[in-house]
Amino acid sequence: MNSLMTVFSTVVDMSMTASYVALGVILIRLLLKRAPKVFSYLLWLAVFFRLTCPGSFTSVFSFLNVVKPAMQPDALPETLVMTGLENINYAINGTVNSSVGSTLPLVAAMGVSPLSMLMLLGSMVWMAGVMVLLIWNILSYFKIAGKIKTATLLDASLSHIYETDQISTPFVFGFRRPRIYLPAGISSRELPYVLAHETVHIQRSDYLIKPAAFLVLIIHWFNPLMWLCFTLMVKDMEMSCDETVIRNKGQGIKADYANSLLALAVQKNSFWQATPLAFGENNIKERIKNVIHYRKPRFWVGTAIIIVIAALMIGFIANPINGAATGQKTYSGYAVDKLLANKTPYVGNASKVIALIDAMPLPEGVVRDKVELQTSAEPYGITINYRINNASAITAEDGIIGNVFDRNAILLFALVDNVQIINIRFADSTGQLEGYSWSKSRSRIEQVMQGDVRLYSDNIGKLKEMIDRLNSVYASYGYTDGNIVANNADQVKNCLEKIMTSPMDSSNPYDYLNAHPTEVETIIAMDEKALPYLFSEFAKGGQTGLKGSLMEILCRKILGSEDIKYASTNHQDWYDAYKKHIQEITDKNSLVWVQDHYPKGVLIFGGEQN
Amino acid sequence: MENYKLFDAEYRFVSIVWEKEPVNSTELARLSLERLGWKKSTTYTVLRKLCERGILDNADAVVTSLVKKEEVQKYESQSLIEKNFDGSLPQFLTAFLDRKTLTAKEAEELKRIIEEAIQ
Repeated sequence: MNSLMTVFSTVVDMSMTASYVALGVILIRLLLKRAPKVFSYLLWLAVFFRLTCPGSFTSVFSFLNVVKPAMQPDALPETLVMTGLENINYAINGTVNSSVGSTLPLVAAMGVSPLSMLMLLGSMVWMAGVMVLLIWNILSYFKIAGKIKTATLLDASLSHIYETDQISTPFVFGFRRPRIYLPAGISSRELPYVLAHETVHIQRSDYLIKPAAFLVLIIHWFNPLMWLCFTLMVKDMEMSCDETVIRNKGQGIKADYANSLLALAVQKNSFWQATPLAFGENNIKERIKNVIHYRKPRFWVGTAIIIVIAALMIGFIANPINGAATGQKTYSGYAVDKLLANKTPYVGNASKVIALIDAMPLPEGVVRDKVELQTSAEPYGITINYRINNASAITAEDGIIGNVFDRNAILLFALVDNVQIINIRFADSTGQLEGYSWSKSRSRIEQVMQGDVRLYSDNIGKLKEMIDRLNSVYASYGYTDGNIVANNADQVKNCLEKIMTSPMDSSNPYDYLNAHPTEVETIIAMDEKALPYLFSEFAKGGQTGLKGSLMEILCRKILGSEDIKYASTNHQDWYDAYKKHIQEITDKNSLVWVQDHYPKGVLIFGGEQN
Repeated sequence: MENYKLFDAEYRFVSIVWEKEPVNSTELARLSLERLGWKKSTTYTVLRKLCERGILDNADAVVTSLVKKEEVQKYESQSLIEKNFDGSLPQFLTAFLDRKTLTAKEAEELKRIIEEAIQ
């Protein structure tokens, strides 16, 4: 189901881009009204390319620079691994809400927003439409094949021309060995023109191009503009075919040729169905006019048009350059336009997810490595691997300590609708952080940010507001020590001390917490990284004062569902009871089990789990 | 009588049988491929259908015709007159002879045919 949604969102993306190109082609086609139709026929290649290729090369000359300034080039395939694993191995300190991925109904499961429900519905409707059209056309193909089964050779020496009384219009049929089929009793006056026309179709592989184009149309059936494009493309194909016949046989045959067209005119076939290539196909009036007016263009005119067409093709097929080259706007390190442009309802949209990750800042000395997408089962996840190439990254202002990764993860939760879990992993050539990793779950982030972060991705203003908020929460504290745990401890300690400074006259811990929202948010945002310090302070014993009460509130907030029901009297006793509880379940089960089920609670045993 | 209605392709096929009968069915398939461009399977399908309609007969891989060329022609021309000239032979003749002159010999033959038909 998920891969279906991935495919569908890619198709919708391609359809959107192709629509811009199609409008351009239709416009230029109008300008080329008097030119030979072969040029407008060629132009459709650009639309075809856009409808079938999700990516492209970038160029300054791309017309899409005008309409889509923030399109991304496609992800490099080697940066991506789709994992089909049922579970991601969460790091020991991972925070996985155990209700995720359970047997809850789809809508109730977290991370499924109305938008992705819509996507799911849309992709199903799309698939059904594709199936119906495909089956319809396969059936009509066999119907024609059955009709012409008994067609007989027109002349025993021409092995590719058949006639039959089962059809009413001449056409080319067959993929591997195309043959010309004529209705019985075509008069000898029309016959040479009909054969010449159909032969040109065969020479130019039109009998393959048309079904291929129709197949692409079926995939994009929901886009009415593409139906128009297909109709126009077939028109151009037929007209340039007529022109080729005139060019081969000379201007003198124009009148006879036009008369033959008229004599063999047929009714338009069903709109929903690809028709085989027919000599006297529809829009006879236009074709006859075109034949009459056709003049072989002068050499230099033809050359000039070819050059212009080639330039136009490059313009249509290239992707716009993005990023610094076009002065991509960044907001405190974030390429906000690019972030918004690549907002996606679905984790499986690999190119967008990668573009999002790469539009976010990284500390010096850290590079992004492989990105893995978990799309086959809930919880839908993104795992980002980073490589640390020099030690300064770890201690830098905005390095691991500065929580830039947490900020980026929260932004990803805002911009990728149905992602439920984000894992960050490090490979460290300096050795200090080798194998270091952590996970964030959406429910946890929603606790930290006090609400659904997806609301921040509506527009640029909202997004900037969120970046500001993240920056204040994760304000850097200027560490110089390389030890993570110590740094986390310092950070919690600083915040805690600050919270305790005011209002001095109150004894209600909540007054203190409310007076320092930024510090509280910082500690909550640190999530389980704040626990080792808080637990170690409790472990010293005697935490029965203001500090104890604040610590109990913070611990229990962070522990969330892992907490126990307990009404404490002096704060220290809550800690003791909790430790006892964790100890008991550890004895009963095993440490591994507890690590799995109480990834935060297990931190009470001290030891640097990271 | 209706089963004498032959499609274009069937008529050509049966024509081969009239020309070559009695003909071995393998030989017939070869001839159909050569003259009509038919696959063997098509030949056998059409042959089977015509046998079912009692136009051809296939006994021990030897094909013969049960209906003669003249009968089919008679049926064809009758249904042509039925369909296009309200079954009226004079109307047909008028249309056929429009701006066409007959030789004395042809006129003589026609007279004879008409006299025979009256009796």
